[in-house]
Amino acid sequence: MKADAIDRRSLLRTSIATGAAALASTSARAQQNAYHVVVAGGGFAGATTAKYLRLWGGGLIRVTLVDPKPDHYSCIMSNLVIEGSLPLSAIRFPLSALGVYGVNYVQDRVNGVDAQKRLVRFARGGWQTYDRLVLAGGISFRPVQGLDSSKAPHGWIAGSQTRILKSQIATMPDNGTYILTIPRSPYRCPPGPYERACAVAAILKARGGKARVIVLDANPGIQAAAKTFGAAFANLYPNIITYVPNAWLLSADMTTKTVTTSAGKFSGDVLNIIPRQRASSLVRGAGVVPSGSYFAPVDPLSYESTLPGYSGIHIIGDSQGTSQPKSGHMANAQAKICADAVIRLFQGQAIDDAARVASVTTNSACFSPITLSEASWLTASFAYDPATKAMKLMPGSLAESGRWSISNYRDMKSWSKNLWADTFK
Amino acid sequence: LAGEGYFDLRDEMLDMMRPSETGEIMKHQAKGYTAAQVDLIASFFASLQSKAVSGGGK
Repeated sequence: MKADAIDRRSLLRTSIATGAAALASTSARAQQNAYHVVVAGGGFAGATTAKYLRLWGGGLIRVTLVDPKPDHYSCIMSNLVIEGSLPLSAIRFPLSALGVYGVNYVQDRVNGVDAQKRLVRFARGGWQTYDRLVLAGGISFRPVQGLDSSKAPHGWIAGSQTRILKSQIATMPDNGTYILTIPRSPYRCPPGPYERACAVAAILKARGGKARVIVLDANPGIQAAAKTFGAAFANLYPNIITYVPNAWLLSADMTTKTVTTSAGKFSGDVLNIIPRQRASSLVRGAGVVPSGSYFAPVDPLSYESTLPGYSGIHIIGDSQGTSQPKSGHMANAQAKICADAVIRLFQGQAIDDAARVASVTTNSACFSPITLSEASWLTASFAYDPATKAMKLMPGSLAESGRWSISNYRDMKSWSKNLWADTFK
Repeated sequence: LAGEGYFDLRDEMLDMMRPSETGEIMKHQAKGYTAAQVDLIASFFASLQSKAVSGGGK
């Protein structure tokens, strides 16, 4: 078959599922529901883990998925909601849908973990036993003096924040100023803030007028797909976007709509403040983030905590502390490695034999809308390095499109659709 | 992909691994995998039951 004859949708689906394929476990022959895994958090990481524990576990594992919110709102494609090309309902995924695989979704909040006794406390449901606990709580934000995120939204956890930001941008004056603050790395979705800047600039450009976008980046430069976003800022939106590197956010004033940064004070009509990030309160509360750290140290062969006294607790997605980028696609890949490891451990199998170690691979693809009809892409793959016991970027795998196109926009739709289907359906 | 032929799946992925002047995302994704892994991936999807095997249309 010629390369140009390949069904593009199939290719994108392949990329999403590759982490799974090499790791697929043999079916279990043991007693049905012999083990109980509690998965806390129903985002890309948690939903994928819950689903694949059931798919690959051969009925060996009873899976409880717990999250206070019955629906997950996908950050992926949320900029299209802000632009108005997708309704908010298009990025909403009910967690109860995983019931088709036998996942038991419980609407509750985890507010206590006893790692020694392997007990987890649900706010309403009390203490529950578990054999293994998977924490997939995503991110939480570090405090910013003066910030009220209901007035200066981050839009970095989708849902109500997406709605607030969309509304504020929609009602911004034609000559208004939109200010975006980007936190120091690491943060969720490395290309995301620059994508956000382009998405908002595209809205303002289409509207006409003289509205401006000021990007205040705490980092010394664009953190991902620098060639693509740099070109978009300079060539597509030269009169709209002003990019300011090394601008640390120090405080914010909700009354005057002013941010104070290491690069000076800036006032605007819409403040889109993305604070610095750390592991979610769920993960920190479980004790798996050491003092002085912001994310949870894990073994990338299983995503089990490496802290003494916390065996049986796995941390995946944006809360874990490996060097892999924090993204929904990456969380989906990590979830499959975690699910495979949990199944093998229940079956008494090794997770560090040569064949498995050689197959522990993750990847992340990311498409970004650059205009209202064109997108760019960024991709990277990681493999387990036995020498350092860490995930290592595969040579030559880090690449960006460097340009934007309508066909990339089509691929973006396929990519998100397949990633959502693999995760939430 | 579930239930599609092993050889088709394998060859499509090996195609992606070949050098090309086109800046397609899958060319770069393919760099993350060895030929042995591609073989495992093709075997995995070929072993799955398909809900509805299409005629290969887009």
